[in-house]
Amino acid sequence: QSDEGRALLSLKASFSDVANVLLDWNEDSIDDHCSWRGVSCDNVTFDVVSLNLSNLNLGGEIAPSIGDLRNLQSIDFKGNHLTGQIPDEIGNCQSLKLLDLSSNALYGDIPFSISKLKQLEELILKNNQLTGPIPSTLSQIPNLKTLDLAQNRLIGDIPRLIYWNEVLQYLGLRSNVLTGTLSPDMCQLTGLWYFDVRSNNLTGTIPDSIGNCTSFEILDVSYNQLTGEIPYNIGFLQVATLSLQGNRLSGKIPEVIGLMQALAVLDLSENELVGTIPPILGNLSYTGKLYLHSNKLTGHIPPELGNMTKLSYLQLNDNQLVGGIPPELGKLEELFELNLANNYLEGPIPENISSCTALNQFNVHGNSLNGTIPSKFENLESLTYLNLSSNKFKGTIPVELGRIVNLDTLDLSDNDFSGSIPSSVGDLEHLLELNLSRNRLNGYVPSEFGNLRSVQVVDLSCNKLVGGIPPELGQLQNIGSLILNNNQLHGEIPSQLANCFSLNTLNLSYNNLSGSVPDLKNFSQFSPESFLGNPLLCGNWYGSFCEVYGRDSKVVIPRAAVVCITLGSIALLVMVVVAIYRSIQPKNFTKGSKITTQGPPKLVILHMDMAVYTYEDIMRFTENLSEKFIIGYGASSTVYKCMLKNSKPLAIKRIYTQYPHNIREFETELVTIGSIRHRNVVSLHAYSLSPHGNLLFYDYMENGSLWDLLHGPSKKVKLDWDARLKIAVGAAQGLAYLHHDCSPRIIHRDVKTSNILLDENFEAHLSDFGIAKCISSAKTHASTYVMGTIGYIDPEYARTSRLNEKSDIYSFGIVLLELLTGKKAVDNEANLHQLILSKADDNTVMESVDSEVSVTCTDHNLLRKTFQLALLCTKCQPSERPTMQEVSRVLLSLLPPPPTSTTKPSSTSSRLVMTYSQYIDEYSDVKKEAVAGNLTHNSTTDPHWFVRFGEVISQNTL
Amino acid sequence: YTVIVPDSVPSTLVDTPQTGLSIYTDNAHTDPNEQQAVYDIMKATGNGWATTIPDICKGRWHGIECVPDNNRILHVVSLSFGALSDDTAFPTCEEGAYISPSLTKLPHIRRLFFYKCCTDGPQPILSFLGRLGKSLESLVLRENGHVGIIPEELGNLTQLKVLDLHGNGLVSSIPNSLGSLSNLRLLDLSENKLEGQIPQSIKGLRKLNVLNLNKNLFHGPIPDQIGCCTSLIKLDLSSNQLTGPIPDKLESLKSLLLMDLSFNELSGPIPSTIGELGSLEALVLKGNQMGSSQIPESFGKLRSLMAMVMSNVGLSGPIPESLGKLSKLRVLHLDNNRLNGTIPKSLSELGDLSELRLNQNKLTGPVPFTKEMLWRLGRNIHLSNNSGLCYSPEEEREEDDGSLSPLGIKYCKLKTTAHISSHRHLHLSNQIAPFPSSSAAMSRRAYDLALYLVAALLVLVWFLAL
Repeated sequence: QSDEGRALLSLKASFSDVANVLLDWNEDSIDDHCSWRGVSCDNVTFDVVSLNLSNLNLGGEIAPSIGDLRNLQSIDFKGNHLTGQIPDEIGNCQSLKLLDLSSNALYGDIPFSISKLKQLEELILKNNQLTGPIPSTLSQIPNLKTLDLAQNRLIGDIPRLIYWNEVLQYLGLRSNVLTGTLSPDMCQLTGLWYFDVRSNNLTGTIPDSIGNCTSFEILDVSYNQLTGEIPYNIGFLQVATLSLQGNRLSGKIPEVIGLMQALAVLDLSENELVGTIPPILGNLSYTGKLYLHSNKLTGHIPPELGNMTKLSYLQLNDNQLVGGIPPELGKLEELFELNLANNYLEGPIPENISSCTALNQFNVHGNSLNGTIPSKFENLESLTYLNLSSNKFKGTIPVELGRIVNLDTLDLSDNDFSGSIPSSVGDLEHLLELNLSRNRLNGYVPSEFGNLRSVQVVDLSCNKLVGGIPPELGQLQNIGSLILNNNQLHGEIPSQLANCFSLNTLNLSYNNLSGSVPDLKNFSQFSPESFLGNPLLCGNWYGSFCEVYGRDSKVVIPRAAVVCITLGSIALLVMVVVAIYRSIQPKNFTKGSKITTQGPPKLVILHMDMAVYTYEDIMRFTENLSEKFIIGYGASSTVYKCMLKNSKPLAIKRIYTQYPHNIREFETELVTIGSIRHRNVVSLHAYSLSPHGNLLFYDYMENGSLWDLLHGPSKKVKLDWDARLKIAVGAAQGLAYLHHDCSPRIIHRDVKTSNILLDENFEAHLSDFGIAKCISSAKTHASTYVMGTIGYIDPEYARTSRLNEKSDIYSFGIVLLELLTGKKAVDNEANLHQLILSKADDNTVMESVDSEVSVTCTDHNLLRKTFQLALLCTKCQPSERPTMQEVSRVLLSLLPPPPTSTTKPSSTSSRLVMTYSQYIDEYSDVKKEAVAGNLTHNSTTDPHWFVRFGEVISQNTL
Repeated sequence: YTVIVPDSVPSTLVDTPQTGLSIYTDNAHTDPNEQQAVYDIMKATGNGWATTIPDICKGRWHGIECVPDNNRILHVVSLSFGALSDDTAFPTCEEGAYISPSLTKLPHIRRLFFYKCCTDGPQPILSFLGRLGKSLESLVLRENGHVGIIPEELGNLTQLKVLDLHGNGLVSSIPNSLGSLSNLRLLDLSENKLEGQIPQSIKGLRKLNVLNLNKNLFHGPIPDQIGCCTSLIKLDLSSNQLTGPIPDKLESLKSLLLMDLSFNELSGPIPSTIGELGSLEALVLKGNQMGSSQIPESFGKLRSLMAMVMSNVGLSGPIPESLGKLSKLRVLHLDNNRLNGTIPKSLSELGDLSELRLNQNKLTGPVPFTKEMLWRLGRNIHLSNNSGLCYSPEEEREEDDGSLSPLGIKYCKLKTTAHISSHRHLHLSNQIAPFPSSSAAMSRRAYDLALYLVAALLVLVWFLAL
């Protein structure tokens, strides 16, 4: 047996094992090689029968000594960085049933010797760099059920003999460089259900015999160079997925496809199909995706398509379809995307379309549609993409459009829309692109556009807009393109536009703007083309009516100009004097601050204990925020420590962003946060917003952040279990307060260990409301940008961008896991949550407990319960997560009873236990009696908990 | 839609694409006799639960396929059993499963598939299967635990296209009657204990594409008549006890893609007519003791050949120069023979070769391969144990004291006087091809570096001058 141990060691020797995952594979334990990581032996003979080294970050090569492990039945090396060739000697492993070397960097040919593996059932070599042809001799493996060679560089024909196999189930050849034709023999595969040759260079036609492939469930021949017509016999198939897209198929869509009722996905797009869409396709009542785009289809859209009740994707764009949009499409209640762009469609958009309430994307660009936008469109609440551009729509833009709050693209360009732009468009706060250009819109640019805080492109060009450019546009921090040319805008260019730092395309040409181009840094990048055709606009270009900034210094100043300048200077002087006089007048104290540009920045005091200090005092104490007072850096801030006289020290947070999105709103938020008083929330004592820096003044926390204590370089303090539990309780109570007890309620949005600060008593305080949001009472917030920290972000929030307090609960669950395991939320791409889930699956989760915890925690049931709680908090479905109140209640129940309670232990503990069981009852559907019965005996190992635990995990992984 | 009535099967079935739904929802129903027969068959395999299905053709049960006729009566056309995979949830077989004779009550049955079904109670293939002759196109009894003989009656299955009896314990010889299965396209009798000679009646299988008799006990010669199966694309007679020479007549198998005659007792000489198999992609003859046959020069005509595996077949004589014309060749195994002469220089033109085994022969002279080719072949080139073979790298070597080259063979003697070095490099075989000696590379690098430095200095001086 030690021969096999030696073979394993020589296998290890040719791997490069940077992370030292094969640490236990060593000479000393060679007699015990059956217990080495990834090695399994036969119970009786002790032969090595299975090697599972998948996803271990191994590099290097597979040594020929693999062939010495002759009793191997399973080799799984997938997901490493193995390179070199597959060793010939693998052919000696005559008992091999599974060979999975996928997702490595292996190169060279598939060795001939693999065809000698007569027991092989699964050969999975996908996602490598294998070259050469697929050997015909693979057809000599009698039991081959899975052959997956996808994503390599294999060349040559698909060997015809591969098809002569009665048991092959899965043939994956996608993304290679295979040539030749589809052999009529392919339907000899009477047991095959998965046939995928997508993205190769196959030519020729789809064989007529395709109808014999009755066992196929997925047939994907897309993205090849297949020609000819789709054979009639295809109708015999009972596939769920038929992907023929991206070929050069011609002829008509065979009507017989309408009989293939098992179809869930039908993709015939990007071919050269002609003729009409067969109305019989409407019979495909199980089809969810119908892609016929980018063909040469003609005729009408058959109203029968409205019968495809399961349809969620319908793409008919880029064809030559005529007629109107059938109102029957309104019956498609599950329709998610409707793309009819670039056809010859006419007539109005039927009102019924507004019944497609699941519709997310609606694109009719480039047709000849007319009529008005149905006002019922506001029913399409899920719509994020609306493109009606390049049609003949007329009438006004309905006010109701502003209610489709999830829109991120609104393109109405190149139509005949008239009237003014409704200010409600400014309510579309998630809009990224707004294009109303090339219409006949008149009236003003709504100042509400300043609320489009996510918007990146605003194009209102070629209309008849009048009035000025609203200064509010200066609030658009993400705008890249602002295109307002060819209108009748007048007035000056508001200097606020210089605040739009991301602006890189500006076109204000051909308007009636006057004044001068702002002399601000950001504006210097715009060429004169941006401003042409505004006869009264001053600027730094040749031919401007006043070449103020002309680079020719020898220009002679006309006498009139000299007079003007002198008069102007005098006027200015007078104004300055008046202004100074006014400013020294005593002023009423106002709580909110006006940002003054003169004098020392103002300190806005939120707590009375700061009242005695001024901005100058603080600057003196910190030597103008000298580096030596820095105690930490954040992503967007620096933190200083400030010692005050006769008072607790302060932490000063200096935020880098000079211009918070909206100063007024930011201030409101600060005031709100300043009003929070809770022992587990860091207090904001004061703030100061000024061009000199935006400073926030917090309590100073003696023991730094929880992150530092858990993962910091110098772990000065060891945290035992009780301390950790106490911290968890504190943080939970702070968060529960934010969620439930303060008004307005607050979502923290960035709960993580580095935002949990610890005071001198290791009491937890939540900090950093930099991105916190107040929950407005009515609507759930949907923001375009997902904020938060990787590893803590609620996947559901990341997916939907829809924020609610349950996202904080997810993050809190991760904090609990961190407390339990001492591991970082994300470390070298390893995700703590996933790690725990996988360990939970094998019931080995207790192995991951931090040693500091396991030695200080006497009752491991507590740990198990905390794990369970953490996994409940991190459930995929936000609705299944508990509330923060419940979380803190449960954590509280885990705390050891205070010493005083020993006099009446029964009552205290039973009360706590009841709380806990009630809670569990709520979330795990357990019969109350059972739980209560079990929980009263929770001092010893509790099998019931194991069971519940397993269930929670399995629910969690669903 | 068009009603296609296949001319070969006298059937009234409406063989046209069916709307999946209509079969299951409309008033069509299963022929009651067939329904009862299916119940019987299911019970016999231990799937008694099926008798509670009111209509076995409705509901898309895995393993049962039905087709309606003009009178909207559904007929069973296919039955499949056995745990093939999780994705194909055919009914599995319980202990004591057997194939029920009620199968004969399914007049429209086209395909029978039993996989690892009757394994715990070995039983013969019963002759009643021969009565399904009118319609049966595919009979698969794979690893199904059958023992005994192949019943003569299977020869009545004249519509049969696929006969797969792989991996059973079948004995005795192939009945002559199988020669009348003139529609047969696949005959797989591999991994059984069949013996006797391969019947000459095989010539009747004119449409046969795949013949697999691997791992049996067949003896006697390979019948000339196999040459009549001109549709063959795969001929696998490996691991038997076949004797005699490879018949000349195989040259008529113009479509043949794979020929595996390995591990038999075939004798030489290798017919040169094999060179006429223009489609052949894989030729496997290893493990036959063919006396002292030579590799026919005509093998150079096998232009489609990708794998030639002729290890241990007693080859003698030289490697023909013509093998260099096999431009698609990736695998060439000629090891363990008695080949002599030099390695033809033409072999170095096999640009796609990925495995080359010439070890254990009597080859002599220098190895003609370029460094690039050796590097590409890496560990997959085997030249050892050819006493006369030597390696002569392009670079002049000082040492030629008999040490081994990276290929496991000696370096060639150079004309220059031998300088005997005190230290020996002992390289193991199977190592990657040679690299230029490191000290030479070092000195060259130093020289380059000096050149660069001088150039840089000149540029600097020029700048300063400006």
